[in-house]
Amino acid sequence: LHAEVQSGGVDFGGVALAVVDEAPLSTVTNPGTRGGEQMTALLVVLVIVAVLVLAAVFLVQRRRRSGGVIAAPPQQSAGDAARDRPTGPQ
Amino acid sequence: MSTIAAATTFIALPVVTLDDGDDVAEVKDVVYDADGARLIGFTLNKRGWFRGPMKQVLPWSEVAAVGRDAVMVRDTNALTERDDAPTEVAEPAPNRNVIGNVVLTDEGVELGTVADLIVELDEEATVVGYQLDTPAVPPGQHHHGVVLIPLPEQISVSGDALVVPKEVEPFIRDDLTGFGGAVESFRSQLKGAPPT
Repeated sequence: LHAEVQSGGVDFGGVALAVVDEAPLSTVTNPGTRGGEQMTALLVVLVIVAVLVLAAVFLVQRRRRSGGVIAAPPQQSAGDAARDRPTGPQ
Repeated sequence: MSTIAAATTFIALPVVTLDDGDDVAEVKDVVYDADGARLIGFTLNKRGWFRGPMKQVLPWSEVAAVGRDAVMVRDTNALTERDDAPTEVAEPAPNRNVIGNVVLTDEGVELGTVADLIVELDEEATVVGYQLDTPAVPPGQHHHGVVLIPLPEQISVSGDALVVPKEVEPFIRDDLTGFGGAVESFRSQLKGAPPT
C-alpha cells in the first residue's frame, strides 16, 4: 500500500494519512449545503422584491385608472375675462 | 323616452363601436358642466388592467347611446384628440371631483355629502339631482341614510361645498320612485310656479 503524502500529511511507515483538502469542515462533511442555503436565500429575496414591485405597479395603476365625477370649471364671461386680463403700460 | 341613471355607474363601462362592435376604451371620468347641469363627456382608459389613460377623450356629442353595460359610439373616430375636444373634457381638473363634497343649503344647513350624480338620459344627459349620504341623525328629525335631492337648472359648484337653494328640502326623496316629478316640481317652484 502506498500513497503519496501530500501537504500536511504524515508518513507512518509507508501508510499515508493525508489531508487532501484544506476546505472548511462543513463543506467536507456535507458538500453542497452552503451553496443550497445561498440559493434559497436569493430566491426568497427575489420573491419579496417581485411581490413589492407588483404591489407598487398595482397601486400606481389603480390610481392612474380610477375615475370620478368632475365638475367643469365655470365658463368665464366676457366681463370676467376682461377683468382678469393683465393691464399696465403698453 | 328618458331614463334616470347614476353617473358613477358609467365609470369603467366599455366604449363599444356600432360599426364593428369593437371594445375600444373604457370610461375613466364623467365630466359635467355645472352651469348647464349636463354631462359634457368622458375621459377614457385603455382596455386592459395594466394599460393607462388614453390620450383621446369622448365628448358627449360623439356618444350614440349609454346603456347599462356599455357606452356606444358610431366608430373609432368618435374618440377625439384632446386638442380637438372642448377644454373642459380634454383637461378636467381632478380636484373638482364632486363625490364626497358637502352639500349645503343657501341658509347654511348641511344636507349631506355627494355620493352620486343623478342624470336623466335623453338626447342630452341632464343632471337632475344628487344622491347624498346624509349625516347620522335620529329618524324623524331629518332625512337619514341615502337620499336624493333635485337640482336647479344651474348648479353652484366651487371649492369643497356645493350650495343648493333652501327650497330643495321638501323635495328630498329616499328613492328614484317619483324623483322625476320632484325635480319638475322643484324647478317649477324656483321659477315661481306653484308646485305640482
